[in-house]
Amino acid sequence: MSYCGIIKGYWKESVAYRSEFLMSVLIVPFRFFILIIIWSAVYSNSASDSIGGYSLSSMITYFLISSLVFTFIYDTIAEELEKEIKKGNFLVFLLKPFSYVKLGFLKKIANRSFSVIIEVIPILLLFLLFFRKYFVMGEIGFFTISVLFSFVISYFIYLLIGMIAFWLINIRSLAWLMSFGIQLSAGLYVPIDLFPPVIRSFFNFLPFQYITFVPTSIYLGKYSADLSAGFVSSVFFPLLIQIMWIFGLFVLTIIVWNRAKKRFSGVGA
Amino acid sequence: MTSAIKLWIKSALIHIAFRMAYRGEYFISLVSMFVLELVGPIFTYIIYYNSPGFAGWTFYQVLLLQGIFLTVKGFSFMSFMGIVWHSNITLQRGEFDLTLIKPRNPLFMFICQSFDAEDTAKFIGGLLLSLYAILHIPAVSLSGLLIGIVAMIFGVGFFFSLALFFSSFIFRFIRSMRVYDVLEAIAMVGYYPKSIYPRFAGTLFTAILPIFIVAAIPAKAIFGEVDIDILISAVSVIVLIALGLYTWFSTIKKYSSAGG
Repeated sequence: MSYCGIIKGYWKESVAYRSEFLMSVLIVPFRFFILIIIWSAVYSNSASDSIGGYSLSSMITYFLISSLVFTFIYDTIAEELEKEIKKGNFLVFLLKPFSYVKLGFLKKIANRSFSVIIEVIPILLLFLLFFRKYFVMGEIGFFTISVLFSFVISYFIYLLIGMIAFWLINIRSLAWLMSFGIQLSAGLYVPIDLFPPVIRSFFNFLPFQYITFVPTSIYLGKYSADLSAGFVSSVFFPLLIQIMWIFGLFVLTIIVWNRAKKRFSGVGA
Repeated sequence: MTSAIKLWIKSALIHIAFRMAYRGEYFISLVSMFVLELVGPIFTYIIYYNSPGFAGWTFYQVLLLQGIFLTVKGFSFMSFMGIVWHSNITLQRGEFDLTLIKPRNPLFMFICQSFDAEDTAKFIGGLLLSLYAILHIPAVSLSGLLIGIVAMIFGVGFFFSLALFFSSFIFRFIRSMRVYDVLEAIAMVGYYPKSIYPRFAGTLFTAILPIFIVAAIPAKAIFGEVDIDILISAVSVIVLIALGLYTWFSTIKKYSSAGG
């Protein structure tokens, strides 16, 4: 079976849940409505029209773009792997000619490419329909490259979380807790440059900001495409760090995966 | 009434005992439940760290509002909100018949079966957050506190009406997993002071979908500001509960037992 055939199969699986996707799309305008009210109240009470370097429009656009990026890279591999291990069904994957790591990634491509059509684009269109004046047009080229890198980074991170199930079996709550930490330090709830410096410095040691914060910052033009200001402040620097994280997480995944597989007994519950 | 309370407590204890069988996982789950609810307070902290925040509200006043919200939400989710999730599971398996044959009111039995041991963390966490905030707020009167508690009880009533409507919705449209997203979207409104909302939204969320009775109105009462909003929202909650009960009982009459 070809890679395309596998992706096609998973695509059909995703289509079965289209009503679930659509319901979440319908909630989004309401969420943004509340978010705009909250931030408008904050900005109107502030002496400056910029908070942490964000104008009201760029703040709202930050939340739009980061939520779209997160929708695109959203991963369920941790929960799925835990379920397969718990039920003992993981055995089936050991018999297949493709490794679980590869299949999981192909499934993510299928599932998320479907979500672009049924979630990302409708959410963007609804936002433009209702809240156009808060939308800031940004850098698309480097942003797209960065999002593709974040797609891979997030896959390895959630796969590593899922692999904990080889040791602990039941990781549902732990996965929730870790996902919360990831989303917080990825800047999904608040841009991480608004956090106090101590917390920000801590986040800098983690790969999570490269999932949503960095691509969104690239979109908002926080990095220059011009090398004359120095490599570190250019857009090429975060992209290079993303590549390094992909490589580091890939190596870590292979090491942990090879050890984890040996722990699987195939019994299930 | 006494036997009903005994039955509910017994059911709650069974749920907790069941979860305690995997106490490590249960403990992590409790922590997760509480931590996940901290998004609002963290968001508020960041707002106040970078700006003067909301006009007329100090950081600790907003924190108290959010603590109250978490307390009411935690109590509601722990006690009866599980009927929404339970409706999904029970109907998919076609098991609601088991509830109907028991010698008690089916809604009461459904509530007993739906106790959520995990959400105790939200409730306790909400209480602790409120207590922490209240210690930083000067001049809180006892009368204000009592009025605030009464308003919170109506807040619980509001969540109860939502539980009835969402459960009825699931009875009609089996497998509606995303209703929780709708619920969370509505809840998002209640996390912030009423004064930040435009007039039409203020009226909507006070009189028609009175989410402000959950925390915004009780918090104001605790600060000594009591106005007509509390009365309007209380009446609205009573109407919503009556409508919710009517909807729920008329919906279960159409239950087919087929599963889905």
